[in-house]
Amino acid sequence: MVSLYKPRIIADFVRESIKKTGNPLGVQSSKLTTWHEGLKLSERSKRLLFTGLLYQLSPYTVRITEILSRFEESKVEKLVERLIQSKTLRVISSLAPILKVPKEEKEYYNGIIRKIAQILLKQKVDFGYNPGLDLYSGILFYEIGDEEGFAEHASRVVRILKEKGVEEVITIDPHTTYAFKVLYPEYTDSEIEVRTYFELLDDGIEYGKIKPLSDVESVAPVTLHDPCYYGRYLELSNVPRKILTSLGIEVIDVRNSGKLTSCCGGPVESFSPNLSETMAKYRAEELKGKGCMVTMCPICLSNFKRVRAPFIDFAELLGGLYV
Amino acid sequence: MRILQALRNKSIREGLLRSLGNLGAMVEENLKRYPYLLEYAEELKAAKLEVARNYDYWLDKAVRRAEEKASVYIAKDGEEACRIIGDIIGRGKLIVKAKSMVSEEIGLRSYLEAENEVWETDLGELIIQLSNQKPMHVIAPAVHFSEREVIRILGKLGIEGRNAEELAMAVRNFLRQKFLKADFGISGCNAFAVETARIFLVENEGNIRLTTSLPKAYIAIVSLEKLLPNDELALKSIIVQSAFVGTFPPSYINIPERDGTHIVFLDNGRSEVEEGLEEQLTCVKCGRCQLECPVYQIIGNVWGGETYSGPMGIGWSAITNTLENSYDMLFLCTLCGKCEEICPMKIDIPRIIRHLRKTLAISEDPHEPPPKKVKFFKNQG
Ligand code: SF4
Repeated sequence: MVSLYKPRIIADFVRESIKKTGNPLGVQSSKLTTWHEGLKLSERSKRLLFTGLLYQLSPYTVRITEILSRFEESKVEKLVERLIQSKTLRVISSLAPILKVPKEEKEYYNGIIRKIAQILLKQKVDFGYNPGLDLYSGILFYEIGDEEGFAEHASRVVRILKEKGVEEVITIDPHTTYAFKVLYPEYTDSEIEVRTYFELLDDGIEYGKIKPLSDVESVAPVTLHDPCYYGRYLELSNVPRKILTSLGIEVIDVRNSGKLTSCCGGPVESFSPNLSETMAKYRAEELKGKGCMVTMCPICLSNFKRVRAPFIDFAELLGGLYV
Repeated sequence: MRILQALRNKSIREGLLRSLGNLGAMVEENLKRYPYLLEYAEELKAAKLEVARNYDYWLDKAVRRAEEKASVYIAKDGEEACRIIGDIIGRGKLIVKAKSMVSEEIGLRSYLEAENEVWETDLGELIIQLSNQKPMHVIAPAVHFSEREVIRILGKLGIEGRNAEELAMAVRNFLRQKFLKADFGISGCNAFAVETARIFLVENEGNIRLTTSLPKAYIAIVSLEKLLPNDELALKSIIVQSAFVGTFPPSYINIPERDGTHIVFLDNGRSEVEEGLEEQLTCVKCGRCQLECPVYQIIGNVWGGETYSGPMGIGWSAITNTLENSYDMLFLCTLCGKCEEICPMKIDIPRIIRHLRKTLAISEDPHEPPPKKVKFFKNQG
């Protein structure tokens, strides 16, 4: 018998958390939407930055995964499972306090979103942000096979956005992007336009707004770890490359990139955290030595950070270059 | 084997990556040089789906054609197939076998071993037989064994050699005696042309040729998904399979036609597959998805069902009704989609896995344990 955390228990926890708190970890929503403070973004814009909450949830995921990892296949594995189950039963929304997520980590992930917003502002992209409308996409329902649950959640998100007159969302992670671009039209009556922030930047290049950097010499080459949803499912991997090339930055690719990209292991982090870690290690090894290692997904990023592989987010790279 | 144990077992990864290194570049080269391969694959998928939707019709036709030149049997499941083959053979016989996943699926070797002497004649499969394991990979079953381990395992038979070449030679000598004395040869089938009732087999070692021709009688197990309307499609099928394995053109293509042939058609769940799983039936079992899967590359066949493992193994285990013990396994897939991308048949394996996960997600009471027996048949809901 192979041992992994009982999917049934994890799946139930996730489903109930989403139903009760709106996000898969049961963290209080208001804690996840503070990143924009001081940026003075309009709440009423028809075009909203929609984080989908995944970057903000990353430090919590890391903490939980560390705990699960320590007890995987140990004598207390069953006990941990029971604990998760009891959470499902009773104190679902109070998970956050026991996790003790370091403040710096929360600030780090919030910082990435801030950078994205700042880059867009700098590019004169017209957009707003409404913390009350920044919701979780529900894609985990879909991934664990609960299509009905997904359709229900997605319809609710679409209804809320529609009621507030939102016409377009700007997404910042591959999972939320895939949900909005591919799944929402299939499972709901969504007509909301979706663009990722880097597609908007790409438009900027077309209009000649993004200029090659003057001090290109000093920027090291970059190697991109394409998240599976961007590289394979949405076939968007050429866009960040175009942006970097137009800035004069060399991108060095391995065979397993773009449509052939290799998974970082993030999505199995709660079922078998040790497997997930090993996947991240091997993927990092494959990319090592090619250039500055960059990804553009909070799940990839935090999984790589968990194994101490020195990845940065695409937004950090761009932000460092011209914000 | 548990996951953590598999994570520590570096030889799984080393073996699979060695195979991928050897074969992967060859597949890419084949596709570049022979662009028609992709057209063949597309044509084949359409034909296989069409046949899969009408197995009754095609099986009936296959049986009638085959009866003109062989003794023909139909087995509903693995147990029945073993019984039929056991009855044909009797006891106290010497049997040589070609490597066949379908025979693994029905547990034929151990069934026959109870009263006969049975030898796997594919080198990798022989190692699997002697070490009592399940195949690591559909094409390369023993990739995870080091040379040292192979020397030790073959040593049990008194086969000696200092390296792979010497061992292969020694195994060949050892098996030659078995081939010459064998009463029965048994093989699976890579493709079956219904119109002509021809069995198509593809290989690189030459042992299948001997298995199917030298023994006094020959038994072929033909599982339903191998049925194709005619010779042309059957040939295209083995071309696609070998090109996506990497070894193309293959060293041997066998179309055994001889006296003393028995053909056992095997269903074992295939004709009752529900819609969500149908696509898996177009699989040519090239094993490319296994080599390219980032989870499989690390824990190998720990991830999968009783016989079939890795991305293709999930669908096949469900089809052949052996997934229930490894149900939790569905959740070790990251849905990364690489398998679909590199599959010659473009089988949407992530969709199949999500489809199978559904059974768990929809069950009413969250505090009930997952259902023990998960039924995937269309008429049972
Ligand atoms: S699923 Fe596709 S890649 Fe995998 S063995 Fe079958 S045909 Fe080959």
